[in-house]
Amino acid sequence: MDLHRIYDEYEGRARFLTVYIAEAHPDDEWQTDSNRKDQFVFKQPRRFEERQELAKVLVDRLKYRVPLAIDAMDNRTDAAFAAWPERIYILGTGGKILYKGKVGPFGFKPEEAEAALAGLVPARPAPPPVAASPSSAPVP
Amino acid sequence: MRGKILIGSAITVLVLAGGALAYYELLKAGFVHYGRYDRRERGSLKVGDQAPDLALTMYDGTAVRLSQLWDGPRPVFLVFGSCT
Repeated sequence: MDLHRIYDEYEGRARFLTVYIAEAHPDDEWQTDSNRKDQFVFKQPRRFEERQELAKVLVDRLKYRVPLAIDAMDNRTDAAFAAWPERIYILGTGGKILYKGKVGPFGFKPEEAEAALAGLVPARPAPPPVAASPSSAPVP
Repeated sequence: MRGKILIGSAITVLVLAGGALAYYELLKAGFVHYGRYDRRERGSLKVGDQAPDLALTMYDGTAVRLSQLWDGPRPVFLVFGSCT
């Protein structure tokens, strides 16, 4: 997954947070064939515990490992960031918005956000040169 | 006569194709919505604006405020989504 790759690449130089928001395509609203095929068939949560359960699906079934928070049931974070169904932001020191991705699904472009992030963080230090050691010397 | 019909047809096709393309682009950008369950919004936040500081619950149940993330020098990569 792109997001895991970005997380692995920039973790340490950037902070990461995912916010689990209202379902994009729950079974009781706007279901999609791909969700049915993948057996991601869930109702839109009405209680916070139900949303937590779905976040657990993300972690358990999709092995999601980027830090994860869960939006409140009044969808306040989603609403404040116009986030639904998916979107990426990059914030600078003090919370200034440095990048606002377009709304998903068509505008959700992790690689575009990654390019923006790359310009904001120091370059990753080059790996130390491999010291010649007896074990790595070519065998005559 | 035949030439006029051809030109007329070509113009009609071009206009329809242009309209369809424009509609598709507006749909992609979230300006045009699919239906009642489509809650996409462009939102009023812009690059350069101050992000709202909100309280959230982490997956493990602990409380967090967004401002706790942006209090240091490192940029914050913030992703919103769900598993469907």
